[in-house]
Amino acid sequence: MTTDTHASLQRTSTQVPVSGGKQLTVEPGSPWPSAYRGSKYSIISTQNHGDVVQWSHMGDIRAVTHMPDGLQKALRDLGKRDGHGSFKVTASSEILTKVPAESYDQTMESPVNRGHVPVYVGTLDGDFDFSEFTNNPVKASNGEISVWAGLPFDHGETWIACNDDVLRWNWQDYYFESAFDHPEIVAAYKDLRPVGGRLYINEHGHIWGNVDRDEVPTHRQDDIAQAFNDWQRSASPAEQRLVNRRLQRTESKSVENGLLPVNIGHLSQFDDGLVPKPIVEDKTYFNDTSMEPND
Amino acid sequence: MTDFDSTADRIATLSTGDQWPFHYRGYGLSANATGEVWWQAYNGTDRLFLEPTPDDLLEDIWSVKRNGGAIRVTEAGTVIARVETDTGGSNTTYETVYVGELDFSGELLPDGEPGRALPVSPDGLSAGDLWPSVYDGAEYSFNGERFWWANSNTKLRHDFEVPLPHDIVDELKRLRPRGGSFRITPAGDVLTQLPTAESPADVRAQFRDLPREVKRILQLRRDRGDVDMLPVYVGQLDADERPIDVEEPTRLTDPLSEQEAASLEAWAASMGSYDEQDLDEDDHKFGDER
Repeated sequence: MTTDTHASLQRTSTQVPVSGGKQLTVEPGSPWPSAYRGSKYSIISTQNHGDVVQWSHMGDIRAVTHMPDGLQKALRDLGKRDGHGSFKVTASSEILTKVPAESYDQTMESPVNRGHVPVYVGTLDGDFDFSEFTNNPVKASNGEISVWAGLPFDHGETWIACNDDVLRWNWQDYYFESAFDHPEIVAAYKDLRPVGGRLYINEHGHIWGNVDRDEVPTHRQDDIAQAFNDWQRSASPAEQRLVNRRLQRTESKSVENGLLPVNIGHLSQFDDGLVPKPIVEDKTYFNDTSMEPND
Repeated sequence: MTDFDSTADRIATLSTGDQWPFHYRGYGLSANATGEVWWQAYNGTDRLFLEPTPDDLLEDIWSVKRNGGAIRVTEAGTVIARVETDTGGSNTTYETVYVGELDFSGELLPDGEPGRALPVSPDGLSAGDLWPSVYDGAEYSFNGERFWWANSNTKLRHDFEVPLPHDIVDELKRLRPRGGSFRITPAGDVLTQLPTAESPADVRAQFRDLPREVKRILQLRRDRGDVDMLPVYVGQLDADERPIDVEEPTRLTDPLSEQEAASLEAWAASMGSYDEQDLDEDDHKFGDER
């Protein structure tokens, strides 16, 4: 994030697909009638930096950046104490947060009085990013891949390219299909990782996934090697640390070298630019998500 | 580009008498107008004089406290003090100011007992050994993975911004499985206390083997009620692992444990209150919705 650009909260309504081929117009401050998802950040107050937006993983690596204008006040107005706490940003830049039901005073037909209510805050406008690395790299040409050198955890909506070639959003035991078909995203991912698996779509529209070096099809091995070499040549220490941490954490008996985070492209390059939107078909999801204060 | 200065960088810009912008803690020492610097147990009369006397620091102390007084030395060796602010009214208020830096070394000498000097940072200790010096330093607490500084005024817990090194954390958890408080001296020594009754036999043996005078000094606790605790050495923090930065208190939303199972059926049912249209792909293309 450069000093001459900044991000801000726009208090505009958004369209949210729901079951039955419908979409709802959701105003800022209203309960969020869909999956609570996206890149996770927290607003915290630090003695040295004042109030900042923080990304952290396991409490041992963290990054902070400037607060988008208007966000802390909006969270405070919604009932988040001091405007602190976590929020998420969807692939459509929608900012979501969870508000303790007892301090959430949005008047609804049937007020909720328990749990943590997912709420739509508004959309994120401008250049929301970090100085030590970027979550919004320059778009590559169609089909070109690169190592994902942005945030490697809690970053982006979590989707799965499934065996049946359907893209499903996943949280705990819930798997919700997108309102739209995304054959090109699925194909692009399976071209690098034939078994499919999780991929992540961030607030800037970038799609990144996990690539097992030992399972890359022959015709893409050179591309992966090239991407890795290009990244190694130019990566800053922060970028190296993020990727290394991802590789470490994804190591397992079946994946000895860990899964390399790879940027497979940008939403605008696939399926007419359609953004995957989960349809919550199982209403018990809303009960379960309200039990989690942050996820 | 955003560039946040480190705490050490910010401390380096402070001058004697400047307001202290960080948390208040540290090893307690006192100084007087005649140039003595000493450690003293809580409410105790015995003084242990710091030798060699930090002469340069005395000048700084006198410039914020003309007659000397109590000072604190942080885990990074920074000296701070609470001074009365000039309010002119009947309510005396205090503020914490920066005094200077102390290279914390040397010995603590009981008055008239030069043979019984205690090193401020004893050498050759292993984790879990009895700490053969005074139990003091910046006080912090932990429980499980959580580490914090407790503000004695507000009672709020300020979490560490950066975790302590794994070896220190592991050792603290081994020595104090239920958590508790610990100290970090200005030399970076990390100490904690074990209930005497629960101390390993070798720690109690180390205590028994100390000369009686030293034993008596070790029993001078700054904190009342800690008489049945023995101080033990945990480990050493390198200079670049100090000072400790703490967060403003995390105000997490109330835990759900005391609440009944959430029921958001009413909320889910209330979705009929939204304006509803047929799904339109054009509303969901990247870049179109902003």
